[in-house]
Amino acid sequence: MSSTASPSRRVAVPVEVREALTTREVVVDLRPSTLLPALFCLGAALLISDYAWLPPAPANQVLFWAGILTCFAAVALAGLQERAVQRTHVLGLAALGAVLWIPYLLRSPAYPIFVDDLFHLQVLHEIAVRAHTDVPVTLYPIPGAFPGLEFCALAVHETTGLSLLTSGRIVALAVHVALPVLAYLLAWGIGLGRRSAFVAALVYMTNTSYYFFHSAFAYETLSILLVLATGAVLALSPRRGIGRKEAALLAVLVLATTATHHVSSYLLAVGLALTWLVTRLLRRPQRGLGAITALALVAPVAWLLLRAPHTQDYLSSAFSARIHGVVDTLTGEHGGGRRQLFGVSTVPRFEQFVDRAYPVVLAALAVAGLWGVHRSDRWRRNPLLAALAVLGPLAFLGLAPLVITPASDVVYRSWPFVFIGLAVYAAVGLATIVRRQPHVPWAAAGVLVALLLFCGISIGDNQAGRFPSPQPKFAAGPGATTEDVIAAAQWLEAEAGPLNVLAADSNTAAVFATYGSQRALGWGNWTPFILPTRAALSGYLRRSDIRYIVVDKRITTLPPRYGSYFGGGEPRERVYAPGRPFPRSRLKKFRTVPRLSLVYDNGDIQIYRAARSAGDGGRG
Amino acid sequence: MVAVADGVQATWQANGHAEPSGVGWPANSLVLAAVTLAAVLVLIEEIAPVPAPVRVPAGLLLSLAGPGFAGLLALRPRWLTPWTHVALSLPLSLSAAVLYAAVLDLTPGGFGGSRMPVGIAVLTLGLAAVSVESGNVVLPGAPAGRRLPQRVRPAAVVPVLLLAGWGSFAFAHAMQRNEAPRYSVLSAGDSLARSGSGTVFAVSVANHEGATRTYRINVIDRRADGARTTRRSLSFTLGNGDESTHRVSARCGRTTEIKLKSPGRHHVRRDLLLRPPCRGGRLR
Repeated sequence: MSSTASPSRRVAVPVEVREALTTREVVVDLRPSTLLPALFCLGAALLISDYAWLPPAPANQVLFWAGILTCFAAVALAGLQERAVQRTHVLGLAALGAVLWIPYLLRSPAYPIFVDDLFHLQVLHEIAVRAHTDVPVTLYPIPGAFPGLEFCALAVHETTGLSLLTSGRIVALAVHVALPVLAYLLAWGIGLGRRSAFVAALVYMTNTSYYFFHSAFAYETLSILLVLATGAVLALSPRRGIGRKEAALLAVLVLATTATHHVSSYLLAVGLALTWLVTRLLRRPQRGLGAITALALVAPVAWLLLRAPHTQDYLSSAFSARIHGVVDTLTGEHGGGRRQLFGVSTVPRFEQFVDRAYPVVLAALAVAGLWGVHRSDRWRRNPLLAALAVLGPLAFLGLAPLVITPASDVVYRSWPFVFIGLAVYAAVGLATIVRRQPHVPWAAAGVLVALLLFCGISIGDNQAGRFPSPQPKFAAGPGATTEDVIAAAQWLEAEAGPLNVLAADSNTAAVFATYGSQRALGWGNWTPFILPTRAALSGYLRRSDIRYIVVDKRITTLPPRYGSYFGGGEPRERVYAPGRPFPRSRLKKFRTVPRLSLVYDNGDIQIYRAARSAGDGGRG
Repeated sequence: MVAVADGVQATWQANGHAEPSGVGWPANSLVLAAVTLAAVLVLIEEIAPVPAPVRVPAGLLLSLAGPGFAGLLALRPRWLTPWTHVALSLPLSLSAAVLYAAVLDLTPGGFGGSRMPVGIAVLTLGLAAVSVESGNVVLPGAPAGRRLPQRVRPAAVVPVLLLAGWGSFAFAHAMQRNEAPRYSVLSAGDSLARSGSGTVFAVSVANHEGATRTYRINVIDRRADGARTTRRSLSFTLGNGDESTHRVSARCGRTTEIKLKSPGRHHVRRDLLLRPPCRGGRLR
């Protein structure tokens, strides 16, 4: 990008007009930079029009990328100018953050479909009704244990009078807008120049969670904001000591993170502890950092023990499942190490091809950034910068190879945190390259970041598919949360009341647990489906407390979105081969079991009711 | 080494944070006034209803920025610039809401009633009072930092307005777009009556096909030996969104099949199987 702007062409304005407008300078400025807001609006209009009229492929994809990349170009062209001020950077990043939230909303404007949205909105609804966080368990084991997100939506709801759904979406939008701005302030606070900090914020937006996952009403969406804000305040604080004012701000943010998301609070504590350790190793202690670190370490433990003791089982099982994934990968057991990249992706093949550049480019920038910081010697004087080297680029380089293993989930979930440091170092790497190679303009850095943004959006795209469609491509995933499934869940609650135990595939279970307030089995839900005979199923129903079996008939025609129809533990090898849908024959037995009545059928969803004991006709 | 030094100078700030301090930011008093007004409006809402066009923006400003903005102004750390002030207001406001609600959750009444909005409004007003008292607010008219440039740029404004108008129209269209599948529902609802020999169900048909359709219901009794008897058959027409309910009795010890059909380009076939248990627990 050229740093010398062309002179503006001033058009002669009649004297009388000039005199009439004495307080304002009338300039018909035709410099390209003055048209950047129009360029941004053009991109946003293209993107929104794409979702408004949904043209057939590939026009929809072309419009989608044209819209996003036009918005990005407008923001980058404005922010990468040498004389760009903080206002330009902040407003540009906020505007880009808002535009990148729009596809999430327009994918399903009428009702949420992503499972995290469903869960947190249900908890929000229950909390609003009960005025306390002790809400019943329907599917997920820890409702109300980390209620920070719900509290924020409740605050919006009660101060505005807006619906709970709208309030939740407003919180998510506000967070999505603020995330890149805070990444910018963090990088600037660490000591990067304004333009480099702007590049760092753009790189942060390319992490695979930002575009979709952090658009959702999920507790990590809020917690990553709080973690970034903590980092920004820490970076802006005086190097020699954290004053009382900063300590007050940091304490509020740390405690709020603790009440919002378990893993985020642990990672924040680790980050602060590492920073504290580095200050000691470099003999540049920062007064007050130890106390904040101690608070960050103690608060999550205290919360876990006093406020959410039942969360320990949930966390330990989730942690052990991920460790097993890594071990299976290393040992090759249970099909370990055979993860197929883009195996269930809905993005076009062209994008999948380009996406392979993502880790390579990021790794190169991480190395360039580490080299640039090392040569500058800044890390010796800036312990936070040194700590971010470990938590950012080095962590990325260490974890990135795991994306080709079944433990990839761990890697992807860690990237929003890793990218805080990685973005800073990548920006340093880009700035160093641009300055060392005079023939490389800043625009080249912008193009490289645009490539990363393309890949980040594509890899982390909406798990329900990019565009709305009445016919999903996958079963047992958010794309299968169609209006008829929601209607079935609401019908069951109206007819049979809440908290009936039911078995269904994983996505249908989530819909019935949230929209229908039913108690869906999260483990063993596959048993009635895979039992081979009517007699076996009858015996199972007699022993279990299952009241309803909900069948999404699309599992017999569509592949599963996440590799399994009923969850990670299902014994699929006993029932169906990989790449084949669930056998229709296993569903036919439901029609022949004497204990089961088929009480609802809407084409996609069938609901079977199991008779209880003597004399039971039941409601519904 | 020279090149590295050049690169370092371009990459890093020359002298720490060279930005001006937030003190003297001319707009902070206006924003604080807006936040204060929002807090007052939210308190008024508890006494008398405030119209939604006023309440919604006031509530948004208060809940998303109020405590954070006023708190930062009350503390006024040295590094505070206008944009760090604005950007940090959101996470701090949300944090304040989280911590306040977490405390309320420990109380018997929880956050029921109006405790949340009133608490946030009072907290904001308190912090605003502290910031004014501590002299951290630049009152309007006082000498302050530079004004934001005011320029009329028709070449930029006209396309922005046109495109914003088009984007708003498209957005409204996209929000109303419904890609939901067309479907018909056959369901057996609440049992209307029950006796020793059977149960009467409310069988409903709902049309969500997007157009008026004609449906035909057949009620078939199937005995344990497999013999089938068509007991009842009826046809009816339903408009889109309409629902029709019929009383169907099902005898215990038998399976009552209810079949729904609707001919047309999008052929509809649904069925139910009702097996009411007999008294004493005998199922068939």
